[in-house]
Parts: sequence; structure tokens; C-alpha cells
Amino acid sequence: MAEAELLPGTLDLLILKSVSLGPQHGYGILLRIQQITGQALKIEQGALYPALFKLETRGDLDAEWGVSENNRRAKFYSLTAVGRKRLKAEVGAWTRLTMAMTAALNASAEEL
Amino acid sequence: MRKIWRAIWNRQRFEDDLADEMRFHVEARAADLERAGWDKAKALREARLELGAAEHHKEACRQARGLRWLDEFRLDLLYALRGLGRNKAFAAVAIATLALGIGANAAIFALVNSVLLKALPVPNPEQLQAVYWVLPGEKKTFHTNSSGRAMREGNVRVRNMFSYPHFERLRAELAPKADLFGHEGLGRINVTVHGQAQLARGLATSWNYFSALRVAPQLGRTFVPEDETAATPALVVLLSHAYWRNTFGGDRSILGREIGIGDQKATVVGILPPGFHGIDPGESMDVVMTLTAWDQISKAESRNDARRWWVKMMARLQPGTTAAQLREETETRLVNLLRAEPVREHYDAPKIRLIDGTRGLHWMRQEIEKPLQLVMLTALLILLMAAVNVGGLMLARSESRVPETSARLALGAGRLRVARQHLTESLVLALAGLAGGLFLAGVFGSALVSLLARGGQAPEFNLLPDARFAAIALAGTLVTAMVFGLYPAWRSSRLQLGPAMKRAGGARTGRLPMGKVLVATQVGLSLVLLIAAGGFLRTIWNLRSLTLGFTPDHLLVFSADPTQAGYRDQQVVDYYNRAQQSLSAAPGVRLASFSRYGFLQGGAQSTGFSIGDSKGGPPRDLGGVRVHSIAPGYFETVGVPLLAGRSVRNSDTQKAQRVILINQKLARLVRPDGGSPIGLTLIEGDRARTPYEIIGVTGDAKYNSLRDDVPLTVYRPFAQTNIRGATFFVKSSGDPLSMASTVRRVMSAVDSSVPIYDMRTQEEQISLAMERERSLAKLLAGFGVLALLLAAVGVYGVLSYSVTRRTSEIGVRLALGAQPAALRTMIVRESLPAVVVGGACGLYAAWWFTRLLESFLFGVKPMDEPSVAGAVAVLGLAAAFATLIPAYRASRVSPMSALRYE
Repeated sequence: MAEAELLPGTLDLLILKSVSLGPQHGYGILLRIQQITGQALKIEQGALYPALFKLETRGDLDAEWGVSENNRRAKFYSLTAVGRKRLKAEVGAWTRLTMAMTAALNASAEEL
Repeated sequence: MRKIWRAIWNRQRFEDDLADEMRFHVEARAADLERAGWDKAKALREARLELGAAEHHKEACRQARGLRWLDEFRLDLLYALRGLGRNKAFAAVAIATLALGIGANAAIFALVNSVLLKALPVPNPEQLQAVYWVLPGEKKTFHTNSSGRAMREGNVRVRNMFSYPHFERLRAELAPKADLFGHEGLGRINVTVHGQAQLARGLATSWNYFSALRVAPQLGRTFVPEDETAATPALVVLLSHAYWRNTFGGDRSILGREIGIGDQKATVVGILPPGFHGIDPGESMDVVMTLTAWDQISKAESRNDARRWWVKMMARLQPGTTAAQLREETETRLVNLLRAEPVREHYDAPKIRLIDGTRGLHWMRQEIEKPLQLVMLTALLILLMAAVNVGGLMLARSESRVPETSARLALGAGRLRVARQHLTESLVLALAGLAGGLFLAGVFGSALVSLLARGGQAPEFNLLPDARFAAIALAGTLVTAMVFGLYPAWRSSRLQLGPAMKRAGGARTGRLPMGKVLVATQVGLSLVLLIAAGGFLRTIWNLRSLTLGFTPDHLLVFSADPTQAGYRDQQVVDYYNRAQQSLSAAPGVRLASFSRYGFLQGGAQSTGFSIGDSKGGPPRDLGGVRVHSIAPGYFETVGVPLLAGRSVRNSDTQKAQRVILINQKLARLVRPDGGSPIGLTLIEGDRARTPYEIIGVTGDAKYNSLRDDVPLTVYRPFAQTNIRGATFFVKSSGDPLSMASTVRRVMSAVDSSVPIYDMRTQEEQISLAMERERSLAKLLAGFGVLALLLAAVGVYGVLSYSVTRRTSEIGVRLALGAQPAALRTMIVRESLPAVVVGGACGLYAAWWFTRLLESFLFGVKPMDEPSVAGAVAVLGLAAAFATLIPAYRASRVSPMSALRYE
């Protein structure tokens, strides 16, 4: 399957979305993103962690050390109230953008 | 903040966590791959490959945390500390220089802050207004007690005391607009504690003083209306927190106990809160009573006397009232009150002036504002010199680090990073300087407070640092660091890599960049300070060699007040007569006498006088005249010559003809034709009182101030006046101080219940009167020496550095046959322009600076030639040494070693 390049800024949104489905560790977030995007997007694995740190520093994510499903120490991320608000706002903005883009790209001469 | 804290202290933890997280990712991915059928080793490798360069991601993570600057700062800090540790001499000199500069400034700013800037420690101090008055037609005084402090606004004297009846009426009438309260500093009063008489600083206030200021007692209560308004108020006192702690050990059971004040007993009813020193910054008190209680204790009988003006007033504006409204209202009402009294018709109505009371009373600030500003300015100059000096050192240091810096740049360090590294080092130096400076400030501080001393008593100031002090000190230090650190840092970041690297291996030549500017600045600044210091030294000299009009040598003075021990009327006169006889009879005493006021003690009384017309016309007004009450033998004892007529005798009693002596200055006013004034009549005040017959003319003598001209003065026999306290003069044949114990013994034999105080020699008293001048002069002279030292070190540092860098050049010259003498001349000549230019700029700046000093100088004009010449000579000598030593060293270089140098 062809993998699409990630648009700048969309990784943050994808992380927030995937964490909003339940607390998860870094690798889990990666898997979940691949799962919910149907493997359609190419995610730079290394870029994931700086993005996570940035979101944590910004206060969108909370991090806590816990035990993974295979009994290993792992850092679990969860959404904060701020993060939830930001996710909502960004989903709205994204939807408006894609709708506008779709409409624009599907426009034909007759409709004008 | 917590994040930053964590970032600093949990640094290792963060790194470990980061590594852990990455490891977990790789292992989880590998496990997944294994499950998909990959070989274990291959899976791990694949997982690592997919993740990519872990270190790169980690760095990105660190950056994502937004705290990279902090990490770098930490590194810079460590680097700076290591660098300074390796170069301890440099660090020590730089820190000591900065500590001196910062310390002087911190000490002075602490004082400026306390006196000029801090608001009174009461709620809403901005509502406070001090009430002053001004008499448009000066000269005449229509109040009889001038102990209240008058200050000058231009040529007009502004006064701040009112009579108690006026105060009481104004307080009642102005109540809707303002809460008017009265107060009067009592100086030192006689307090008996645990059966022992001692002196304490007293304050008399209206009952509403504390309620209007909104100062709540620490213990007990403050005053209630009956304490003041009752016809015979119960005598109650409040104690200051410090006095309570020091004298009663903070004993809470003191409330309700009695202490002796004068010859009365008063009950302690309250303790004031710590940190409240009254409304006059610098005039603190121990014991507080109401105005009427004091009137009763002192038996002054001024409570109902509208002619005795002694109560100072302050007002707290009621909400909705403006200062302008209050001023107008007070003026109208005061003038109405004065009009209602019969005797004031030929005086103009006083004008009321309100002065912002946010920071307490005004006169103290006005008096010391200028000296403080001057000292602050001088200290800033010193700091600038210190910064320039350290800047020179830094520059030399960064020059010697050119190879290191260029290596860093070549290895890819950002130019900004390099500059920041250097600035961090400046910051470390400046902060260390600040720490040293704060320590020195404590030492300087006590010396500074003596600048404000009056009559040998240093005022108490709250010099404790507050937020403003901390902010200014820190900001000042940072600015200083910028001054000396910015240019070297900027230079090293601008380093041209090619030439720098090439130079690194070979011989370094050339002079220190900006070296000449540094030398010129140092020379100029120190010249300014030296000239100022010279002017002050000459001022002290001039004040010392003044014509006083009296003979201070072999004179011991002290004060006593028998009325504080309960003496009245004739008893007072008898006490003084007895004391004078006993003192005169004591061994070693040549003469003994007394007078109401001593010389240069700050006390004075002045009254309007007029001269009776011999042809029966209306009396001619003479204006305000100083009045002294003296005992027989006074003029002989203090050495004021009697020029004509006779002195006071024991026969000049209450029942005898009223007599008076006048000084020569007044005699010239009384008889402009030069004739003898003896036998003429003087009339006191605006009421036709009993006239005085002039019986003698004395020489002119200075009394209150060394700087002011001799005042118009009259002397009256003490027995004909209502004398209370007095200053005794004892002329001894030997050292006056050795008489002290004899005098104490004699006075104690006369009556041990009368305390005697302020015992010192007259010469000491004169020195005390010059205390402020001397402190200022000492301070500025100290600053001058410091500046000279800084300049010498600075000039020497820059020049010897240049010479060292030119060692190989000098070696070549020597090898080619240059004469050592010619080399010396060359080096001296090269530094000469900087010194001359700096000196010229310094002279110009000094011309401007000494103009600011003019009002502090006495008998010295700005740019006074001897001071200028002296300063130029001293500085020239210092500069010559600073130049000649490196030049001499250079000429002694052996050519071979010079060529091998580096």
C-alpha cells in the first residue's frame, strides 16, 4: 500500500487523537496511529518522541511511568484537560480545512 | 519555575528516562517483529534501524522541552567558574574592584532608599500632608518660640509650628475634611526607670496621632481623647518597641506600671509596634505622651497660650478632599483665628503650605537630599571606573584567549554562543562582586549615617534592604556586567578566523584594542574625583581657621536642666548661682559661667526687637534678634570681648531695671552713625513690654552655624529671664577633659537629682558641628584616593599588558641597535596622548561637577586652583609611575629572550 507523507503539524494532531482513545505508551501510540490511519501514513518513528516531549512540555499530555502489557517499565501518556480542548479545536480547524480543500479541488467550470 | 528547577536538579534522571523510553520502544518493536516470524537478532536490528539515530532524537527531545538554553547556561557557568579558578589573580582583582564599586553604591543607595524613597510604614501614606506656613513679609517673627525647624524654599523660611490653641481649633474645624494631628519632638527628657534617672528621646503628640496614622499598638493601647483633652489629663505614656525591649527586656507586665518623667509619674499604657519610628525618618523616639501631658509635666503653661508656637501639624485627608481644598480651608481658618486676637494687626497673614507627607516629614529630606545625591553620583563614578577597569582586564583576558576562541569557532561554535560564554563569565564576576559589595556596604553604611548626625547623635535609620533595594542592586550589577563584559564578548564573537588562527602560533603584536580609551577614561574620571576631594579638604581647612568670635580652648561645656528635677522660679536661679559658685571654687577651674544656649549646639531663640526713639517717636523695628540669657562672668569665660559698657551682674535680678547687652553688629544697626548705643532702650516683640536699657556692647560671635554670618545678638541677665535648662562653661587651666570628673563631682554635690548631659570640650563641639562637612569631605577624599588607586592600577594594567605583548617587537628593535633610553621614551610617548586627552576631558567634567558641589564648599570656589593643581600633580605622578614601570621593564628585556618569547 502506498504511504502518504505526513503534512507538517499533523503528527501532533494524530498523537492527541490516539491518546484521547486511552492512555498509551510511545510505541503503543505509534501502533495505534498506524491502526487508525489504516497504515496509510508514513510515520517517522524517531520524530514521535520529540513531538511527545513537546506536547508534554506544552501541557497537552501528562506522562507517568507504569507497567506495560508485557510487564516492562514504560512511560504512559494521557490527555490533559488542556490537551482535550486543543484536540477539539484542532479537529474543528482540520475539518474546516479539508472540507474547503475538497470543495475547492472538486470544483468544475460549470459550478462557477 | 518548577520545571526549570527539575531540569537543573533532575538532569540525570531525565537522561535516564529518555534512554529507558527509547529502549522500551526498540524492544517492544523487536518483540512484535519476532512474533511476526523474524529472527531475534535481526528483529532487534530492524527495530533500531526503524527508530533511526537515537542520539539525534534525544537531542530533539531535549530541545522540545524548551530548556536547552538552561543546559547551555549551566555549561557556560561551569566553564566560567573553571576559567576563573584557573586564573585566580585575575578573578581576585576583578572581584575586589567590583566589590568596592558596588559596595559603595549599595551602602549609599540603602540610605537614599530609607531617607528619600521609602514611604512611612502606615496604611495609605499618600493621604498624609504636613502643614507648614510662610510669612510673606519676612524679617518679623510673630511667634516667640523658634525651636521648630524652619526650612528654606529659595529665600523664604517655611515654618511648621503652631500654637496649641490654634491646633485644637483647627483640628475641630477641619475634622470633616481631614484628620489633623499634632506632634512635637521633645529631644532628650529626664526619665526615671527602676529608680534611676536617665535620658530618653521624647515625643509629644495629639491623642489622635496614632489613630490618624492608623498605627495599632503592639501591646496595650494608644491614646484616647481624654488623655489630651481633659483639663488635667492623666499622665500616660507609650513606649517604642526598641526602648521597651532594651530598657524593660520586653516585659509584658510593664503595662500599668509607673515611670518617672521629669518630676512626675506617668503610667505606661501601651507599646508601639516595631518598625514605627514616628513620622520623621531619622528622628526616632523612646517615650510618647500627649501634648497636654507634656505641657503639664514640663510646666510650660503653653496649653492656653496662643503666642507660643510649638506644635507641628500633619493631616490625613478624608476621602474626597484634595490637598488644595485643605490648604485653602486651613489658611482661611487660621487667618480668622489670628484676626480674632488683638495683638497681631501689623503682621501679614501667614500663608499655608501643604507638603506631601507620604514619606514623612520634609525638612530632613530637604536637608540631606543634596549631599546624598552628590555622594550617590560620586559613588556611581567610582562604579563606572571599577567597571572600566575590569573591562580592561577582561579585554586583555579575551585577547590572550584568542587561540582558544578561534579554535572553538573553527569547530563550529555559534558566534552568539561564544559571546554568551564570555558574558556568563562577566556575570559570575559581577555577582561575586555584588556579594562582596553587600558585605562592604554594611561596613560603609555606619560611616554614612554619621553624615546625617546632628549634635553628635546619629539618627536611626531603617537600612534593611527591601524589594526595591534588591531590585536596584541586582539591576545595577547586571548593568555593570554589561558595561565591562559586552565589548570583550562582542569582540571575541567577531573574531576573524583566518588571521586569528595564523596569529595563534606566532608572535602576537599590537596594542590592546581600546587601550587608549580605557586609559583616558580612567585618568579623566579620577581627575574629577580628585579635584572634588581637594575642594572638600580645603573647605574643612577654611572652616577650621574661621574667626569664631569666642575662644574655645580650655573650655569644657555641659548642659543641665534643674526644672526637670522639679525646680521652679527662684529655686532655679538659686540652683544656678550655687552651681556657678561651686564650679568656680573647684580646683583647676579658672572661670565658670553659663548661658541658656551653648555655641553650635543647635539651640536658639529669636524674637523681634525694636529700638526706642530717644525723641519720643515710634520705635524703629530691628527685625529678628537672637536672645541669650547669660550669667555674670560669661564673656570672660567664653572669651567674647566686652567692647563697651558693663557685663551682667548678680544685682541684675527680677526686681532691678531690665538691662541688655548687644553685639557689635546690632550696635551698628542701632546707631548707624557710629555713636554709643549705651543707655538707649530696646523693646522686645510687638507688645509694649518693659523696655530694656542697653548697658554694654560685645564682640561678634558665631552661634548656631559656622557657615552663617554672625547673627544680630542680645544678651540678657539670666535672672531676669525665665531660664530653664542651661549650658555651663568651665574654663580650666589644664586639659579641659581632665576636669570632667571634678565637674561631675561638683555638680552632683550641688544636687544629684539634676542630670547633667552633653559634656564635651568646646573644641569637640566645634568638630561635631562640622561633622557633616567632615564626613562628606572624608567620604569624598576616600573616593578620590580610591579613584586614584583604580586609575593607577587600570593604567598600569593596560600599559604593562601592551608592553608584554610587544616583547618580541621590542626585542627586534633592541637587536637592531635601539637604545634602551630611546625605547623608554617611545613607550612613554605612546601612552602620553591618552593621558593628556583623558586629563583634559576630566578637567572639563570637573568644571561641571564642582559647580554641583558649590553649596557644600566654604571659602572655596568651583575649580579652585590649588585643588586642581594638586589633583593634576598627584594624578600625573601616579600616571608617570604606571607608565614608567612597564617602559623600564621593556627596555631591560634581553633581545634573545624577547625573540624567543612565545
